[in-house]
Amino acid sequence: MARTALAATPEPDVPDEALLVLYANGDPGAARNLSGRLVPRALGYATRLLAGDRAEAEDVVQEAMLRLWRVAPDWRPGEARVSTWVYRVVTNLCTDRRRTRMRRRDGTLEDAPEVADATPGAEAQLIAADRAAALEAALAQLPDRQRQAVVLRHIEGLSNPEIAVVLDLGVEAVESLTARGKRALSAILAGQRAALGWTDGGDDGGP
Amino acid sequence: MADHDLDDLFAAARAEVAQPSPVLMARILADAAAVQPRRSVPVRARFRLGGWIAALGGTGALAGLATATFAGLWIGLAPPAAVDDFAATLWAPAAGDSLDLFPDLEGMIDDADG
Repeated sequence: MARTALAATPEPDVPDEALLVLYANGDPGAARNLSGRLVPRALGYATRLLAGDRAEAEDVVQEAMLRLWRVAPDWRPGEARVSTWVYRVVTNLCTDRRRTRMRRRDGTLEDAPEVADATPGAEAQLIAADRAAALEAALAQLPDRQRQAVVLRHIEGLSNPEIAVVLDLGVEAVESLTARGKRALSAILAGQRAALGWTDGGDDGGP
Repeated sequence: MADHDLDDLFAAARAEVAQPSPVLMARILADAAAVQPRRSVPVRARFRLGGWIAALGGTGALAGLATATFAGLWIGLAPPAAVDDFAATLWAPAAGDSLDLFPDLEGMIDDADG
C-alpha cells in the first residue's frame, strides 16, 4: 500500500544533471529516477500556482517534463540547475493557463478554494486542514508574480538568486516581491485568526 | 497577523509533499520513452570497430599481426647476413649458371612428340 510510483528511489549521490545526461545517452532508468525527484516538487508548485486545480497542474507538469526530455540532448552542463529549469517552465506554463482561464471567465476569480467545511473529526486536524486551505486561498488572491515568489521562497525553499533565474528577474526585485507578498498574505489572513485557532495576542510576544 | 503564524503555515505547507499519482508518472515516463534518443550512435560506432578486430581474429591476433608487420619491415631495411646470402643464392646466380627445376621435362616432351 505504501508503494507508489516513487518507490524506485533515486540514488541521492547522482546529480540531476548527470541523470539527464544518462537519459540523453539512452539509459533506460534515468527518466524514472529524475521524475521521482522532480515531479513531486513541480506538482506541488504547479498546484499552488493554479489555485488548487490538481488536474490542470498534472497537465502542466507532464508538459514541463516533456520539454525537459526534449531538451536533454542539447543540455549544456553547468548552465542551469535542472530543478530551476523545471520550475521556470512550470511557472511560464501556469501563467499562460491562468491568463487563458481569466480571459475565459472575464476576469473573475471564482474558484479559490474555500476554508474546509466543519465536518466532524479531530479538532486539531480540522484546524490544520483549515489553515492549509486558508493559506492556499490567500495565495490565490495574490498577483501572479508575488504568489510565485512567495511559494518559491517560503514553500519550495529556493534561494533568492535561484528565484531570480526562475522568474527572470533581478535579485532585488525578488526580495521586494516576497516581502510585499508576505505582507499581503498577513493582511488577508488577519481577519481569520480566531477561525483558524490562533488566539489574539496570545503568543505574539509583542506589547 | 504575526510573522511566526505565517511561518507556521509555510512550514506546514512545506511538510506536505505532493504525491504524483501512478497514472501521472506513467504518462510522464511514456513521454520520456517516446522521445528518448536511442543508444544506437555510440554503441554502433563501438560495434563497428569491434567487428573489424573480431574479423582479424581478436585482439591477440591483432598484436601478432603488428609484430609480423614490424619484423618484415625491419628485415627488409636491415637484413641479417644469413638472409643476404640466401637471397643472393636464390635471386642473383652467377652468369652462365642456371637452376633447372625439371631437368627431364624437355626429354619428356620430345618423347611425347616422337
